[in-house]
Amino acid sequence: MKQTEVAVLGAGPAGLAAGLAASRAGARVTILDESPYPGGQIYRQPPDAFRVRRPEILGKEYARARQLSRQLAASPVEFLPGTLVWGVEADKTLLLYREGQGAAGLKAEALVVATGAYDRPIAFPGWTLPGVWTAGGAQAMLKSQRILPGRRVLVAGAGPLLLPVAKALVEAGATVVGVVEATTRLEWALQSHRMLGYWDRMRDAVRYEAALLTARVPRFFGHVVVRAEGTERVEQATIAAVDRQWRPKPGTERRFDVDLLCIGYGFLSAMELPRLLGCELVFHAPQDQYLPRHTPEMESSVPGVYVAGETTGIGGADLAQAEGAVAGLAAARRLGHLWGADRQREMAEAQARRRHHLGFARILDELFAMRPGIYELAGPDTPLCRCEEITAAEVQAAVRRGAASVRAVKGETRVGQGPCQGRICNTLVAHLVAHETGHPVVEVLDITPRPPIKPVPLGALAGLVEDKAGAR
Amino acid sequence: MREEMGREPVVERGEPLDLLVDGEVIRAYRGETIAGALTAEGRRVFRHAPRTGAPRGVFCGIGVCFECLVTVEGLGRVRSCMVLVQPGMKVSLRAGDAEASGRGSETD
Repeated sequence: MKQTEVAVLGAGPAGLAAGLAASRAGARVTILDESPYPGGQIYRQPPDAFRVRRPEILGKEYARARQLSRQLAASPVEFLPGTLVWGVEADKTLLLYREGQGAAGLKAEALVVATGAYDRPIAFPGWTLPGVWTAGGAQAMLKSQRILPGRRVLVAGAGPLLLPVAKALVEAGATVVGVVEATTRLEWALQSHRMLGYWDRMRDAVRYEAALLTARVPRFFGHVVVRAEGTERVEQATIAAVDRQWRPKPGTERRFDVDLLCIGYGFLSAMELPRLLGCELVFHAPQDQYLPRHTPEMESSVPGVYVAGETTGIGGADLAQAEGAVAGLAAARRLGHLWGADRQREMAEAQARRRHHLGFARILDELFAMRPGIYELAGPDTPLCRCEEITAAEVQAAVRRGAASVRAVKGETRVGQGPCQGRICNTLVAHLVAHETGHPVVEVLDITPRPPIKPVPLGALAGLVEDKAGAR
Repeated sequence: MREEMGREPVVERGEPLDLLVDGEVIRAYRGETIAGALTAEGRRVFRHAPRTGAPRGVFCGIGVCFECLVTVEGLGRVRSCMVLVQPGMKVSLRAGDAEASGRGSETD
């Protein structure tokens, strides 16, 4: 079986920074990612088969992505693209699956988990209609494929992603009929003094705002999407003004004709691998999620398992790179690689960056935290579990029969048992159970994943048995 | 040119290739995902959910939600947002629906 010193799970900004730092510090490094290219979601780039005619119009994120890819290619780091990590054993053996190559094992001495995040799902009537996309999904289609998924688009949700997505849609030729933000301008203004000092982020925001102003994109603050309608695909989206708890105010509805509705309410950190590794998790209220506890050097409660980037909470690419560098350096030091003054300086510099960007992440955390009304939009017939098509009414019925936690509801209804393994419905079901039972969300959330954490063809497992047998 | 509608001209795409979707030839380019090629073609409905028959398509776009599943000859059910098109690839959107309705008639 293959061996490495530091295995980095995820090739986004955190994983790349971790791998490159550990490699500079002398460690043998393998970076794995499910996607065919390095960069993760934020530094997603067009495939190699595309030729970029004018790199400058693809923006600074593209430039940063290219830079990181070049650094990766020039380094001794081994990169395994298109590789799904579907399980992990206590001795840090990773169970891998590569399309066309089957299953294999990789034995590592230290792990850095940097598996990123995905759009936080919010259920409302019509959210399963084709043409209702996550904002991140629309961005991925634009950024990497350079394909426009709609012509008349409403972008709605809460948080800083809405603006760049709307801007990208406009630039690709779509008519953005509105950007709908659940928080209010006043709430932004009240936080603005804390944002002084984060000039890069402020400059980005101003650029997005200016682009939307130029394109005359209507902005709605203190509004949310309350439903999407259409027969085979989305045709209309309805928004309404909300109160401070994000509960719609009667009589404030407005309807738009659309062929694409992009929904972005921030992100959920992917927790499958930290859970599987047995990392101790603590509930992070602003994000409504359990996240791994870690030391200032990014080591989780499991010795030799480090966490970095969105895995530790949503904080953006700059924070992810700082955390990655810290984790990579700490992992190399743990394995006994030479720790001189230059490494010490590098660590101190990465730690300073980490603290700086963490400050901004905390502001966004507070400003864009979900409020209870957003989890009450689903109607009785609205599916909460998209895979198994389990509606809010069915979850409610299960709770009334005595199921008082996500785990109990799962047993009763098959909720969370489809191929997405509850990634989409977990928090939605938890909030409904909490609402129905009066218990806090933190007490009803659950679901411990068992490998495979994503579906793997059964035939592939036979190959793994051979691979492990061959190693002995 | 209808098939170029959804494609942005800021990049030069890979070599053109034909994708067979339920017997119909669709123009795609190397480097595109199956979901990308279908989206550029204006397709939004990728399958129907087995229990209610409700239409489904791309949702998360990054491999998390498994909503964009399609059947590819030789690969089986795949997330179309994660699989790149290949020359001669045969994709079916109907196969999954047919299989699902077949399964629905069993005891389940």
